[in-house]
Amino acid sequence: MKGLRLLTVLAVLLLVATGCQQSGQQDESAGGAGTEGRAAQGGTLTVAAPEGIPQLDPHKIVFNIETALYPLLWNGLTQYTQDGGAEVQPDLAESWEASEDATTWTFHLRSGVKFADGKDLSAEDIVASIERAKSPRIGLYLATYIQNIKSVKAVNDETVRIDLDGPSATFPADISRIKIVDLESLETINETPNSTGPFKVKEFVPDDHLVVVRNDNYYGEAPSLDEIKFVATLDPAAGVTGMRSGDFDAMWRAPWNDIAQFQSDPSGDFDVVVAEQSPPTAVTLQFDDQSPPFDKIEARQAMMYAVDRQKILEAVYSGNGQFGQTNSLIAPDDPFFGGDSAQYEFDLDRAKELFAEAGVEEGTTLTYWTTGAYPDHIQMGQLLQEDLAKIGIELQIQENEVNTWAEKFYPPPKTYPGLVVPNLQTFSSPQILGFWKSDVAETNWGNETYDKYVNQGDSELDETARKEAYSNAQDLFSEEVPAIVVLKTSNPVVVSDKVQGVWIDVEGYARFADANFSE
Amino acid sequence: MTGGLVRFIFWRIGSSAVLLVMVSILVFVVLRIIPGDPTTLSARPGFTQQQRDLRLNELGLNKPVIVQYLTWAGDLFRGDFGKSYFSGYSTTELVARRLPATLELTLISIIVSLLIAVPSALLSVRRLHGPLDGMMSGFAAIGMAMPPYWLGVILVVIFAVGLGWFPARGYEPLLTDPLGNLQSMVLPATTVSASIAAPIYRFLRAALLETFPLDYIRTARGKGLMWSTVLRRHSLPNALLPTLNFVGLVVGSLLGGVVAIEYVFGLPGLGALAIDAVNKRDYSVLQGVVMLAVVGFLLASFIVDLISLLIDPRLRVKATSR
Repeated sequence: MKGLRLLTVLAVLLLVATGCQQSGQQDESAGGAGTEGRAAQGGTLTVAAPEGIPQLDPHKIVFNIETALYPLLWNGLTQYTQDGGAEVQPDLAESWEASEDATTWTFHLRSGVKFADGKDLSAEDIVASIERAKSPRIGLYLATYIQNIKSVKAVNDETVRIDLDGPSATFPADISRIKIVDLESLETINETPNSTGPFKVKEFVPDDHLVVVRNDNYYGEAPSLDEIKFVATLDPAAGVTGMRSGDFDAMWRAPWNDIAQFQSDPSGDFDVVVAEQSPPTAVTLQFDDQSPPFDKIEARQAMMYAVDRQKILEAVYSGNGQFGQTNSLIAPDDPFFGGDSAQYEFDLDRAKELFAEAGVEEGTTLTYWTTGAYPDHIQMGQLLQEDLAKIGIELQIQENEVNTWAEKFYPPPKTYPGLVVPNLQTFSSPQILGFWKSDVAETNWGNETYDKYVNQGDSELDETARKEAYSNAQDLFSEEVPAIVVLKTSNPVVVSDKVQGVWIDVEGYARFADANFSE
Repeated sequence: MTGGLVRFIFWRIGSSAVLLVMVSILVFVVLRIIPGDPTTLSARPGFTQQQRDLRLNELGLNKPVIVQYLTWAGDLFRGDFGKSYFSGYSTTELVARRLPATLELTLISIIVSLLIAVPSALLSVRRLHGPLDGMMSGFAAIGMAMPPYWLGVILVVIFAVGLGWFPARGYEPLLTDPLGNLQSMVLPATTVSASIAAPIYRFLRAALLETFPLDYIRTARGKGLMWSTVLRRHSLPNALLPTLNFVGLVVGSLLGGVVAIEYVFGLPGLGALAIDAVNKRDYSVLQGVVMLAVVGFLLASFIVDLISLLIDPRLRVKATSR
């Protein structure tokens, strides 16, 4: 395996060399023509997808790539947009308001929305879709976001009223994940789904490729592209060569070590798109907070001091990401970022002291439980290994098959003493805080005060009070270090430099609907 | 005589059936021993053990393994290979969709590698230990030592990314786009051929050498026939017979070997389907693919044996006197 990887590296070097030669020629012929580029109408965008698309029902999705198709084919009551940032924007609902206690939400619907086949979208379609998505029989994982729905009613053709079990300030954001389908055509949803979004399905071969074309019945502004083709590219190396040979215009979730090469590629033929603000993916180091040695808060804090976040950001993520002075789940540039009580700098001496207090003596061996599915995590482990060795702690890096890796700690509660587990969590802010409430995260950290702060923030309509509650939660998290947030980043998209308009939304999904080719 | 042949065929079918049952138990048990199940990778943050048990229950995966196996084997017996936990498509349909690419790649590769191996072996033994023989053996050593995956990457880098002669990846169906189909097959078929031509060449060379001390070769030379004619007319037909068996084995193992190649070149073949099914623990799809691969392997070796029997009277006597 090692030898193979070396050979592959050689191959890539060769590839870069040939790439340089080619680009040199191109630059001459281009003769410094204007690089500004005008937007061209039409064209087919071919996207290398990191996994196959097994099916098209938005209420039965399991994989990330399926969720990434959401904004192309479907609409919800609300949505996230590029200009809107972290604020949820109108979609099928033009406006909404909460009752004073935030337990009833009323949505005023956009009129004149049609399905791709020309049928009018009705308030009943919305009610039926939400009920279907929530049903345990369907088993949609996103249904956890709307479990607080008590009833959904179509008040009239333009209004839908939703009653909740308790107050929720995040409901308009939560409901954005639930997409509206045509229940009458569910039979053919994998062949010709009757969608309302900017695109509709032209051709679908499960786990191989999907072609979507412009939907002329879409209520909003027509997309520039004629077609988008998603091609399952399970081998990331094949995706990278496909980008370089021009077979692909975009590649979602390219491995981080390839990102560095694309970014510094002398040809300048590639752009790397990451979240512009508040990157949603937390790269974390997790432990079992109930088992030794990480049942001791000192051991967790010691590890926090031993992680050189700046070096990891630069060496592994090529500077694509951010972290603050604290150990916060929320990115420093996010409006909900807060808390400043516990701050950590890279300090091996302090780490050594704290480890000693926790009974982790020199000569202790810890295991870094990782998987080849995330090469960046392995690199991160190697950096950590070097630093821990300086204070006499041996970190053994164990690379596992991805299922073996996950089964060790997932789903909670599981016991895994002595393991340091690199992982990632992708959530929009501040939803990520909810993941660390008792019995949810795999770290077995239960803290009632933390739960209380998060719940308070989630149900508070007043913005200032909300921020304060979340801030308290972040303070607690930073002090207790249930897990280490190494940094916040987003899954990158590599695009050809001819492609404009691809962006990453607040939940970390790549958006291709607004893409266009520049001339 | 014919009765013996019929008995031989029945014996082969019987032993194949036993092998199939054993393989089916093995693949079934192994899949359930390795960590993870269909809910592992599809599970999201916040997924609880309770939700997981619900899902496993729904998929029928919480029953005792023996019950699961018998249910599956019963369905299999009726020709029902089960369906994917994720896409809901039947295994038969998924396999049928993936079969053309794999079959095409296998067929082209075998033909190309035979076209390389047979003339090379003949040239080699014509002047044994001569410069040409040394060169051929050298190439064969490289061919066998080179990992196909790596060769594939190198070919892509040079001919797809660098020169742009062929697509780096993808597959066009033969019927809708014959030219595109051919183009998309060149690099993967070259990769596979390079790795299987080498062992076939070596086997054939050895088989040719084995015929040299035999009486009929000496007689042929004694008649005054030219060395090249002796090789072609007398040595080659006798050496090809065991080689045919060897090719049968190679074809069988090829079904596994093309997995990595399909992965590199993004061919929608059985190998890619199998890898994906392993990663997702899509049990019934993987079980179906394995069973079909074994059937294919058995069928290939059976056909090779039958052909050998038909063209070699010596073997026919041996088989029927069993």
